[in-house]
Amino acid sequence: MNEAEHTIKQLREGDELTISSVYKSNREKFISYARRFDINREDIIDIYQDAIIALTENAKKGLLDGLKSEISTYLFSIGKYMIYNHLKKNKNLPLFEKNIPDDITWNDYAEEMQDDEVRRMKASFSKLGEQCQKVLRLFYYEEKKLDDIVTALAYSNKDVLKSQKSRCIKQLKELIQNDK
Amino acid sequence: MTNKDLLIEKFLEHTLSAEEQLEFDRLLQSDAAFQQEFEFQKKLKASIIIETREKQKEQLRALEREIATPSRFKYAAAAAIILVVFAALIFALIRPDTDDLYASYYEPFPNLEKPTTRDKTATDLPAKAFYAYDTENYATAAALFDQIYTQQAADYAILYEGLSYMELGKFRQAIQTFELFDFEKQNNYTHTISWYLALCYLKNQQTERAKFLLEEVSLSDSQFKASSTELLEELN
Repeated sequence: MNEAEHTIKQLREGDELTISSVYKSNREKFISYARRFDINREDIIDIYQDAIIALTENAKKGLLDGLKSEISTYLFSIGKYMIYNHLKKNKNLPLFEKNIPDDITWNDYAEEMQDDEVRRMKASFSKLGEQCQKVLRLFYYEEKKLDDIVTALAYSNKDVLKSQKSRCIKQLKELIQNDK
Repeated sequence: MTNKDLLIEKFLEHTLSAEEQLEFDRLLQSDAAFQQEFEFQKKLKASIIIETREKQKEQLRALEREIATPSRFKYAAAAAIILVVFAALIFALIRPDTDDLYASYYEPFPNLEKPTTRDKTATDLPAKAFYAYDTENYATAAALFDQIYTQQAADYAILYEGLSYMELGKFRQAIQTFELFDFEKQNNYTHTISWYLALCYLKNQQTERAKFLLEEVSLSDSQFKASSTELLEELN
């Protein structure tokens, strides 16, 4: 396994040291690039952080496996797209809809963040027990198949996992209901 | 777990068979309870993603704080800030006038793309755009170059649209236009666009950004190398 593949594996497992290291080693170059745009420094850092989050998210979803380019290149592609998005939002650029590069997956869930129901769900989700959060994150965030979750969390079999997931969702629905 | 729940689960796993996909679509169209449950799970997915990202953001902010102010420099930083404030006050008194600088360094950029045949009847879009530019109808030119950009994201369209806005005195719009350029590309337009963007920032009193760009251009091999170097000296 070469160095890039190793880094991708570490990112996929959410290794914090690796995330830190990728963050530190690409930071200057990104800030340097972004300085030419009409964006203040705080926002530049904010965008950079969003790009790193997108990178780790895609790594966890297995989208970086077999990546042909460098991680930095991938990160930069996302970052540039996010810079453009930021410029567009803040200035009502009546200009061209720049498309996200073909090989990158990213949804900013901007609409959902404004949705009251989503906000309530978020709050209720945080109140769930750790195991429930783990299971639901693996399924909904990392988009892992149930078979893989059984292995990852060492459940005895799929049915046990499914009933746990069911109970967690039922609990969540109750929490949401009580919150209203 | 009902069959319907299983379908939703498989949808989210991306493991629906072709048959199952058809059934899923059918239920989504016709079954209100199914729709509701699906909507619920979609929102659940979104909330978990948003929540997870927020947690990660907090961690990165903490990391950033570590990087940005290593504590051994904090006192030196405080002293430096005080000195900088004094220096800024002094320099404010002898600051060069950015409008004057803009006026002395700005020169209209000629049409190097399509030496027009001065043909009023030209029908293709680029010819019309460059004709408008050459005849100093900058509002028309800007609109036409914008159309070209919408169709093909061409670099020359970015350059000439921005230049047109500059001629119209619309510096905010010029800046927004130039920002569409992919500065990672090193092509014939990179330094020209950087030069003019720098001038726009100068006019807009955003001197720091201008200087940053001018530094890059002064290190390049472009036609604006000498001018950027000179302008930088005047700004410093």
